[in-house]
Amino acid sequence: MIDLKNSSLDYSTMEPIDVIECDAVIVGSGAGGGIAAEVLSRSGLKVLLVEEGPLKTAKDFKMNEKEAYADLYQEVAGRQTLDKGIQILQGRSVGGSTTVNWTSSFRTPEQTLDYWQNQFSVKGLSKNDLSVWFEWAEQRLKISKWQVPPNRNNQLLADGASQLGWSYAAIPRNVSGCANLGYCGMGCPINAKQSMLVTCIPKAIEFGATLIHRARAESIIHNNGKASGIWLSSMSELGQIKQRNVTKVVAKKVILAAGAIGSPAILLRSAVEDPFNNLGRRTFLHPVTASIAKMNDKVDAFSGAPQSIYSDQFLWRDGVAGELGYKIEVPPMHPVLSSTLLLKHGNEQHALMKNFAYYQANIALLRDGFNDDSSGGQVSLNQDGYPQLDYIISKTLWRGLKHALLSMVELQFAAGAKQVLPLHMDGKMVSNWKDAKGQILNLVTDKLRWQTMSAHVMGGCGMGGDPQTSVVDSNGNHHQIENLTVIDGSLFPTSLGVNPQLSIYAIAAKLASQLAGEMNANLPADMPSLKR
Amino acid sequence: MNRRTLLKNAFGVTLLSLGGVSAYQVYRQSLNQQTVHTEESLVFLTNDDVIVLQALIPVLLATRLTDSTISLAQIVSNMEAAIIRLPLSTQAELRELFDLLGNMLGRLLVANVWLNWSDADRKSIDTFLSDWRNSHLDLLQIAYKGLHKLIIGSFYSERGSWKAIDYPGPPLISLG
Repeated sequence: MIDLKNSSLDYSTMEPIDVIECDAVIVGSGAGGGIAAEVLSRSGLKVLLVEEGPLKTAKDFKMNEKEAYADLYQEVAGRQTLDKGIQILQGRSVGGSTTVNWTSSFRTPEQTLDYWQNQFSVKGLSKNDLSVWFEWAEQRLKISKWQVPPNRNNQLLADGASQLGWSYAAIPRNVSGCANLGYCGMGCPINAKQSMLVTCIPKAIEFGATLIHRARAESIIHNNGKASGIWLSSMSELGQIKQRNVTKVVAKKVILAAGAIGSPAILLRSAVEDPFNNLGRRTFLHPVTASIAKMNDKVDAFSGAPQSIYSDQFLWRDGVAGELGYKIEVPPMHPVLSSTLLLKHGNEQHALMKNFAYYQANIALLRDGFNDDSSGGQVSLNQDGYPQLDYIISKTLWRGLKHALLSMVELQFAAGAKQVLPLHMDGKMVSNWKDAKGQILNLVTDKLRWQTMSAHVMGGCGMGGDPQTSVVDSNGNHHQIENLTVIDGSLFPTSLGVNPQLSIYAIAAKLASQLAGEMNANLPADMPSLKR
Repeated sequence: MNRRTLLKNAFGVTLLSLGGVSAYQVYRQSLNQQTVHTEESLVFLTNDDVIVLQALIPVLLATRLTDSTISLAQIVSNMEAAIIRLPLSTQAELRELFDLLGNMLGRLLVANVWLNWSDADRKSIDTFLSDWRNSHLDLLQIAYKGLHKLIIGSFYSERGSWKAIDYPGPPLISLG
C-alpha cells in the first residue's frame, strides 16, 4: 500500500502553493470525500483532496485516549452544541470520522428512503436504486456480519433483549483481519478497519490524486452562479488557522464533503445564494441517551469489538412519522470518556470509578427529523467564521429520550444488572427496575442535566426535488450554483435510524459516478453502471 | 447581557473583587509555598489559574490524586494541551471561567485558606463545586462541566490512574 506520509502535502509545515489546478477539488476526506476521491480519480480525473485535520496512520495509533482525542477528533472530542446541551463526537483527521468510528455498517432503512422520496421528492435513491451501490460499497470495504462472539458489553445487550423477547441481531462491520482489540475509536493500529484512510484514499493517490492535509477550505470561488474553485487556509499543528487564503484552487468541479457541520459552514462563508433559507438548517444528530449498569462480574467494556449487537425493537415504535423511535447499541468504555460522563466530583466520583471494569453501558440513538416537532438544528458561523450548531431538544425528542432511557434500563435489569445509573446529572444508582422506572419518569427534561450526546451529524445541505425545501438536488448538485456538488452526510433530509457510514459510502459512490459521467470520464469497470 | 455581567449580578460585586490584587500576587506574598511547575511553559493557563487549580484539583479528585503517581503538574499540563487545541471562541469562554474562579477563590485565599490547608477548607471548595453543579444558572452548570471534563479527563488520560480502576491499558500487539 502507498505510504500516505510520503505522498501527501502537510500545510502545517510546508510553504503553501499559490495556485493549484485540477478537474475536481474534494473538501473533506471522510466517508463522502474518500469514496468520491477514489471514484473520480479512477475515472481518470485529476483530483485534489483537502483535509483540515492531520494525517495520522496506524503507526501513530497508540490506543491511548489522550493522543487520540487531541489528534483525531473535532475540538479534542469535546465539540458541543451552542447551548452546551449535546456533546458531539466527530472525527478530524485524514479519513474523517471513518478513522475513529466503531465500524458499524448498516444499509439505510427502506422506511427512511421512502420518507425522503415522499416528503422531499428525492429521486434515484430508493431501496432498489441503491442496492447495487450498497453491494459495491460492502464489497469494497469488506463489510459483513461479525462472526466472532460479542464482547461481554454487547453480549449483555443480547441477553437482556432475549430475556424480554425483544429483537436483536449482530452488526455488520467493515473490517478485515480484525484482532478484536476494542480500540476502533482511537484509530485502528493494525489497519484492520477498512476506513477511508486505508482503502479509498490510498487508491485515489495511486491514481494520481493529490492529498493536502492541515488545509481548510475557506470559501468557494463563484461568479454569476458558477463555482470555479476554492480558497485554502493553512492550519497549525494545534489545528488553528495559520494563514488565511494562502492557496487558490482552480477546479472544474467543487465537491463539498466536510460533514454536516463543515459543509454548511463553507457555503455560509462563501455567501452562496440561499433564497429559501435552507442552508445549515435541518441538521440532525441521532441524539443519544445512555444508562450504565453495574454487573456482578467484570464486563471490561474497553476490550473487544466495540459494537457487535443492536436492537431495533423500538426503531419504528410508532410508525415512521409518529413518536421518535430509536436504535439500541452499546458504546465502548475507556477511562477518559467514561470518567468525564460521570458528572460528580470528590469521593462520590471516586466511588463510581472504582467499579469501572464492572460497568455495562447501553446507548439509544433517536431517529430525529421524521416529525414536524423534530426539525433538527441550525449551523451558523461565529465571529471567527467558525461553525456552531444550535440544536434545541423538542418536546417530541424529550419524550423519545425518556422512552429510550426506560427501555435501556429495563433491558439492563433483565440482563442481570445489580444496579443501574441513568446518565443524568440527577441520576442515582438504583437496584431494581421498579425504582429505576420511578426515578426516570421524574427526571427533569433539562438540556444541561440530561446528558445527551451524538456521534452522527447529518443534514444541513439537505437534498430534494424542490429548491424551496432543499439545498441540493437528488444528485447532490447545488440548486443555485453550477459546478458545486455536495457528497457527504449533510445531504440527508432527515437522520437515518442507523449508524451513517454505509449510507454515505453507497450514496457517495452513486453521486460521484454520476458526476464522473457528467464530466465524460471513464468509470472503472467494477462500478455499477449508471441508469439515467 | 454578557457572561461576566450575569455572573456579577449573581454573586455581587464584592465577592468578585480582590481590590486589583491578583490571586497570584497575594499567594506569592503569603508564604514560600511551592507553586506547580510544569515541564513546558504554559501559554493559556496563567500563574493565577495554576494557583486556583492547585486548590480545585485535589478536591475534584479526592484521595485518588495522592494515591497515584500522577503529579498536579502533569494534570495542569494535560489541561493546557487540550485547551490550546480548542476553537478560539471556546478558549475565550474558558478564559472568562478561569478569571472568575481566580476572583472568587482569591477571596478564600485572602482568608488564609492556602496557608492553613485543612479539611474544612477542602470541604468549602467541595461545597463550592456542588453549588455550581446544582446551580439554577446554566452558566455555572456549564462551568462545572467544563472544569470537570478538563480535570477528570486529564487525570484518567494518565497511565498512573488506571490500575486503581482495573483498567489494564491498551493490549500489547506484535506487528509482523
